[in-house]
Formats: sequence, structure tokens, C-alpha cells
Amino acid sequence: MIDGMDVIAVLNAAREAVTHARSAGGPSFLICNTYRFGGHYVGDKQNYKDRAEADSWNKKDPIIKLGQVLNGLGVNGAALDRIDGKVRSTISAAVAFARQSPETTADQLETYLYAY
Amino acid sequence: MPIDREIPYRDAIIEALAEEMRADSNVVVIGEDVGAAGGVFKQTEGLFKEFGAKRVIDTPISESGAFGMAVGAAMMGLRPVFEVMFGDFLTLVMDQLVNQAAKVHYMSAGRARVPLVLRTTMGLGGNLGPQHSQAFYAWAAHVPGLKVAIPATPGDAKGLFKAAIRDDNPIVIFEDRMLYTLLGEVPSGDHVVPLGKARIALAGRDITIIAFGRMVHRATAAAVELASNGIEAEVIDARCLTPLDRDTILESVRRTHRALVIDGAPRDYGVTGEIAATIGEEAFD
Repeated sequence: MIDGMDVIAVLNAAREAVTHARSAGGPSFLICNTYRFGGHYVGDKQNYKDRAEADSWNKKDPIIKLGQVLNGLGVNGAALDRIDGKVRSTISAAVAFARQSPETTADQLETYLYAY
Repeated sequence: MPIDREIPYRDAIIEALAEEMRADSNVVVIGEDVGAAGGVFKQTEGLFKEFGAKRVIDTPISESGAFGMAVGAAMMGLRPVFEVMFGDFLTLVMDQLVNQAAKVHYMSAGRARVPLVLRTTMGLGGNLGPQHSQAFYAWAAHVPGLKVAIPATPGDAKGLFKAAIRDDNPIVIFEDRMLYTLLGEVPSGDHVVPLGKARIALAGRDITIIAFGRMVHRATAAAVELASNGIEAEVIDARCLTPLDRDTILESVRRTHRALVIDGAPRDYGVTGEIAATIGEEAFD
């Protein structure tokens, strides 16, 4: 049973299980308790979630948590912000690429249907 | 290529597998009882002895799990030949086959490939029961992204298997169990039959009979009988449902002006309807 909101804990447990499997020790089950932040579809209002419960999980966001761990290991705030900025610019570039790409045309319907 | 011998349909498939496994170390055979047992119908006999347990892999009776692993292995560069013992149990791998294997190349804009062959048996006969006799090729042929082959002769069994193993798409090959012992000419060398090319099994000028699998032999026998009544029937073995060689079918029907499509599977919403529609739309003025 692993805290699935803890990146380091999941990494260590997964490493151990993989090593075990590779040394012919057989399969392992990892139970990683976690939380699904997003909804089932784009625009899902998630009315089925309890707001207070969702907020409590938001505070356990594994990315924030990992940042705190790195901070404790001496990685300063500026370095973490740089990582943050890099991720944001990657996402913005992908969104921009999607928005600028032309709509596919009818004759492209079967492109990539089969590998040649 | 010299044709120097006759071997059974089943042996022709094993020969194709063995040759491709020797030529490419990424080719592996996966399935239930495919290993030391050599297949319930002896359809993988000898492969385990030559290639060992790392390349002839027995799985538990969990088709969806095992086939899912084969799809992943194919995406990572192996070329698995996965056996589903009875075509009836395609139901158990349909999600991995239809929603994963057939979609990955399209959804990844060609970045991921699934070079995988799913081989399965089908057809009535042998008193195997209602869940071991059905022929579901129409299901597979209806899914964009899959290819479907149905070899009718030992030579085509070898040649289509070799082409399928070398193809970078997921391909389902239906083998009629009742053909396993059928003898036929099979070239001993690197005999490859391209996917999507029909074969004129018998030339004729009065009517075109389109068939596949076991029905090719029934059609040919019927054509011989018709000949004694002065009717020359042309028999076309479709060989592949996807891609379907429409050109060969249409060229023949334009010549004979008559067509008969036969199939051993249920007719409604099946393969015969598709072929008949193609003929109706394109072969007649």
C-alpha cells in the first residue's frame, strides 16, 4: 500500500517491484492510493464531487509535494520556478500549434489508417 | 520458384512461421498451448523445439490480458503471431484488437505501429459445439485499421502468413480447421503472397463465383459439375477481405455478366453483402 500522491514513494516501490520481477521473483501488485483531479471529459463540471473533499486533495497535489521535497534538498525557489516556466511554455507551444494547424480535409480521412 | 512437393495446409503455416522466425529474431509466437504442446490442432508443432520458450510463449487462459501484452510488444518492435485457439474467442480480445491495436497507428499519426498477426481457427465440422464453430471474419473486416486474410490453399496459407508477418499492421488470419489436412502444392523457398490480391482459382466465361476459405473448394467442385452441363464458371478466391481485391472481382464480372457470392458464415450484414454491393455498384452498367 503506497501513498500514490508521493512521487518518491511510488518511484521506490515501482523500482523494487521491477527489480523483483527481473530477478525472476514473480509479479507484484502496487496499490497506490491517489485522486483524479480532472473530470471524465472536457468541460465536466464534476458536480458529483464534494467541494471540500476536492480541495483537501488539491493540497496533496504530488507536483507541489515533490517541489517541497526538492526544496528541502536545497533546490531553491527560482530553480523550481524555472522548471514551472519550462513546462508552461511547452504546453503553450502545443496549444498554439494545435490552434494554428489547419483543419483536416475529407481526403485526409484515411491518412494513417494503415502503416505502409 | 519451383513447385516440387505437396504438403498439408497446417504444415505450410508452420513452415511460414519457422522461416520468418529464422529470418527475424523479433518474430515470436504467443498463445495457449502453442509451446511444448504444439497447438491443440498441432498447428505450432515443432516450433517450441527449434526456438524455445522465449520465442514460443505459452500464456494462461486469459486472452484479453495476453493479447494486450502482444499488442504492447508489437508497439515496442516485436512481431508477435498471437493465436486465439478458436475464432469464437475473438470476443475475449475484441477490446484490445478493435479499440487498441487497430487504432494506435491512426491515433499516433503514424508514430506507433502494431506489426502483429492474430491467427485463429474457424468453421463448422468436427462436432466441436456452438462456441467452437463460428466464423467471425465479418466483424474483423468491419474495423478500419485491421487487415483480414482467409487462406484457402496450403500455398496461400504459407504465402499469406509470410506477407502478414512482414506487414506493419495488425492482421487477422482465419484458418479453417477442416482444411488443416488438405494437401496442396507449396513452394519450398521464400514464397510470399501479397495481401489484397485475389486469385482466379478456375477460369471461365459464363458466371463469376466469388468465394473464400473452404467455400473456394465447394465452388470449384460446383464449377466442375456445371462444366458438364456446358456452363463455364469462373471461381475467384478473394484470399483477403481487407484489403479486398475489387479490381479482380469487377474485371471478371464485367466479362461474365453474372455473379454469385458464397460464404459459410451467416449472410445477414456479412461479407457476401459487401461484395455483392460492390458488384452491383460498379460492375453493371
